Amino acid sequence: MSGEPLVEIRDLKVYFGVRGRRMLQKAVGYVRAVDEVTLTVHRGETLGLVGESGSGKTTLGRAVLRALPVTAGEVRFHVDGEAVDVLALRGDRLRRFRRHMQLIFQDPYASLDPRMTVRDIIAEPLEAPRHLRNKREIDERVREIAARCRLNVEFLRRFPHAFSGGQRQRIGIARALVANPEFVVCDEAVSALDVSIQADILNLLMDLQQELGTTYLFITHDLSVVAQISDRVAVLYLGRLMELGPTAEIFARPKHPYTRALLSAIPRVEPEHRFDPVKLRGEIPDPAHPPQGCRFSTRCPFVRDRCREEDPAFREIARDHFAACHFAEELAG
Amino acid sequence: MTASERPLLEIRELGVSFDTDEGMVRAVDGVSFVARQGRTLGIVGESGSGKSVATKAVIRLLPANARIDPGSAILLRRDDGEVDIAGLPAKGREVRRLRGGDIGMIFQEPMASFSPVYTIGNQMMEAILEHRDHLARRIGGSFDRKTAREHAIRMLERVGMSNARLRIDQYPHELSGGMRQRAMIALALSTHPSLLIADEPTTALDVTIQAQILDLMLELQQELGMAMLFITHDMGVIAQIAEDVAVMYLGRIVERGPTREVIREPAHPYTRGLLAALPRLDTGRRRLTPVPGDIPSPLQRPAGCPFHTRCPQRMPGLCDRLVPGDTPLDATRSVACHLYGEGAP
Amino acid sequence: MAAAGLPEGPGRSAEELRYYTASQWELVWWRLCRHRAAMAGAFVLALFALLGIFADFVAPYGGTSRDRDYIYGPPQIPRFWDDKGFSFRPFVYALKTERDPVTLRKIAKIDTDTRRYISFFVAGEPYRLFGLVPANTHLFGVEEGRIHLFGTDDLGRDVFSRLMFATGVSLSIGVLGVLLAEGLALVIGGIAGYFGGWIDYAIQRLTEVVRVIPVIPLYMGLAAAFPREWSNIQVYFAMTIILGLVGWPTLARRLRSHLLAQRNEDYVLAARLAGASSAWIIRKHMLPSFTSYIIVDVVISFPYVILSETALSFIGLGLRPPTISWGILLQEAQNVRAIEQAPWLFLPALFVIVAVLAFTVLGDGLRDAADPYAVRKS
Repeated sequence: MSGEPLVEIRDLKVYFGVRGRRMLQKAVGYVRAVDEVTLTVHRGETLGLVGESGSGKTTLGRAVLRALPVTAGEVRFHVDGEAVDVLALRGDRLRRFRRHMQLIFQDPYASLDPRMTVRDIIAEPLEAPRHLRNKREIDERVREIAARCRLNVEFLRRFPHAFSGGQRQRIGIARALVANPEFVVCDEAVSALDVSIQADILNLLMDLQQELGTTYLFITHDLSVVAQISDRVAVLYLGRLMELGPTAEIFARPKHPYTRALLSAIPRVEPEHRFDPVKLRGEIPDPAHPPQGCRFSTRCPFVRDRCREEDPAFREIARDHFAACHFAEELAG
Repeated sequence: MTASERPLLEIRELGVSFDTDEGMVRAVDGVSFVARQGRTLGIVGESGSGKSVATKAVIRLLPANARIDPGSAILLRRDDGEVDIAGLPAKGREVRRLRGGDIGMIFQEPMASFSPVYTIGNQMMEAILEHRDHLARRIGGSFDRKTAREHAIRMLERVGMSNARLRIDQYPHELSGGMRQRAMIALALSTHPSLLIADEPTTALDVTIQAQILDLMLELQQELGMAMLFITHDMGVIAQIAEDVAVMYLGRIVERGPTREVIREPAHPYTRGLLAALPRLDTGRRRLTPVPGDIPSPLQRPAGCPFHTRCPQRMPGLCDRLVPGDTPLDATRSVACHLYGEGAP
Repeated sequence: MAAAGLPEGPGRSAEELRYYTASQWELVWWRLCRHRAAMAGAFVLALFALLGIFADFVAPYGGTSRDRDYIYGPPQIPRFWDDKGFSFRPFVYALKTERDPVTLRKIAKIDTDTRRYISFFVAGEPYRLFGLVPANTHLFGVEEGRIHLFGTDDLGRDVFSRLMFATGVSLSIGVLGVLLAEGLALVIGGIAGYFGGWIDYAIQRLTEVVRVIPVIPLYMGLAAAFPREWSNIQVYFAMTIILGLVGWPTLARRLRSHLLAQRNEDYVLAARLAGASSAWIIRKHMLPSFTSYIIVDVVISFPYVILSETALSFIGLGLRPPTISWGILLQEAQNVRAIEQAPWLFLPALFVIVAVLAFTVLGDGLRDAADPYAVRKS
């Protein structure tokens, strides 16, 4: 892992208009799903993106891939020696660029077209944009990636209904990696799987990263999973970045009250850990009406006047460890 | 055994099969367990384990093509004696009286519990009035619309809902996920059941909300003294909320015992595998140890021990032929595995 | 491979392999075959279709040929046995005409002394098969005299023959009408569903307007507007076109919702992210799912079109004689004399009922087979 940037996200905003009730009325408000997020994903790393509902983590992942319209901001992709402005790509150029970035879905049952054979599903990223016209080459690539994903070559002739959740997820992974993209967004890729299978898929993802050098943006709500697979972790709340840092640091010395609350809320299996969740007041606010000042001020156990008035800057608190809290240093001590 | 630890619910050799186009599918294969007053039994398992089916069988909430084995016994102990729920007609009055009265149930999806066209207050009052006789026996007093409403408001306040007097007239869709779950708990507990069945109640919730709800449930159990059956796939949650645990795999209980002990020293290879496969917060980035193989489809149940196809310690000739019985390990624990049986090496 | 623990081994049976490599179509087909009622419906419809297509051959006589000696004649039931003994060849009794002493009208009477044996593949009235190939072989007939399996009408025309022709006409109107309606619905609903936004909005409003048009007055107006000079073929096609033009809104709406839902499927997004163009997505992902949906829709829509035609012709607003359809035949049964004395003239109603039932049952079966989430009854 080089520390060299692969995807640079700057001041990204994804707002969804809330339509009025009357016919043909324009938007009456905005849901600020992603509200000015600046983040850099380094080549070869696994960056974990965690948050609860309304955090904007899924929206962020999909926006970066141009699967959703972006309201404002910049996404730069460093590929083949140049920096490409992903948000400016259109039409054919966008379609051809897609082979550099892919998505692994959460639901293994909905993400595979039940009417296509496994071979066709995996081959689609090669066949659809017509990079390789040669059928033989395509078949070879498909077989190769299927083998890496530990899918029996027999499986290629079959249809998705023949497979279990774990196997389907492997097919989804094979599809995402067949064109050898540099960047893959894993959108809750293991959340829908049983625990015993989850471990298997996580191993597969890590092995493939070793073999192919892929960079992952790993989106999940499960902190234990993110702890196992990520090099760095970013914590989102209500569309804003709350904390970012190396995994071990984040889990051992969380700087933001939200991260601390999140960690304390995880029910642990280890008997030594007393389950003593930080009591957060209230509920997650409506993303269409975020609080003034710090987003977390309505629920933070350490809230002070300044928090309600001034939005904290996302700053470096310790080495490579960033947090958006006015009082991060005080609270850590 | 003190009075408070008397078994309230006793399940004996429960078997449930489904009559499907593809043939008879065995979902629960001879399961026995006990729920005690004031204590929580956690039932943990993955897909196909039969945990949901077994608990739905207790309140006879199974689909039309489900068949309960004639030898199964589902015994509920009440003040006026014991009733075998397995023997009751599925759609009869007795079962309806039990459901929501003696036995409360909360589900994973709160929207599934609440009708979207009535306010939550309306639905709670309906439940309270429906079971007013049962309530009279449990906590005394008679209930009419006014007292039922007051009771409902009290319950909502008890589950931590702010502005209960206002919220009682709201519709389910007006509440957030966490609120709805609290409302569902309030609904289930408003009739003071002696047994509460919770089927994955926190799985769909954010982790911070989940922590609040688990806290709430522990408090309420302390206060109301009911027995609780908590079903989940999450071992971490079980560790917090259940004193005893039963691990299910493909329709059978493979191990049971006090939660602390089972987690500290799992006996069954599946339990061991499950615990080892859990992602951990404290070990940093590492390769995990999955349980090899795939969960077999219930249509193709392996012969003998259901886990033998994936077991690293299977003994050919024994594990693939004979179904292991329940072997006690000590006074409180037992395991269903040939490694501990008489033929153990 | 072992580490991943794939339960693959030589133990897989051929049966299982077939199931796993089965495409969606094959799965649907197998499910359909197990649905007995649907299979029965399909069989009946296939039979009707054959009767209609080969009507010239199956019917012993032409649609308009008259038997002046046998007016309002009851059906002649083939027998194998009577007091004279058993016969391998089926036969019917000959008919002779007598004058009713009171009304002085000619009445047909059955002559139980004379047997007319039924032969198969006999030569009879010439016709053109499919309008092209001249032929004169008929499926069955009698050497002398005539055979009227379903009796005759007030002009002495053989009901059975006319029923065969009517089946062909009614079913073909159904086919053409439905194809037209489905085609329009496909294009209009498809555009609305695929593009969404204001295009969808505009099309929705148009759909509502067309749906709201009251059907009977529309038909009455149009029927009155059909010029008298038009040949029956022209009226026939105009009828079909009208039925199609009025029938598209309901289908279009259903197709649109289906498409809108499909757009949001994960696998469609996956295809887009793979770099697929809209054309690719429509062709590879949407059309195949569409097709099974359309087939179900088509089969379910048939009865409506056929019933519409039947009803309209019955009240005189549709096809006109000498065109023959179920509706026309029923129109001729519309008088007291028929009800009292010639109830066999209502046999076409039976055909209509059976056809509609068959379509409905087949449509239900197809819909259940194609729906992967259908709850199976035990």
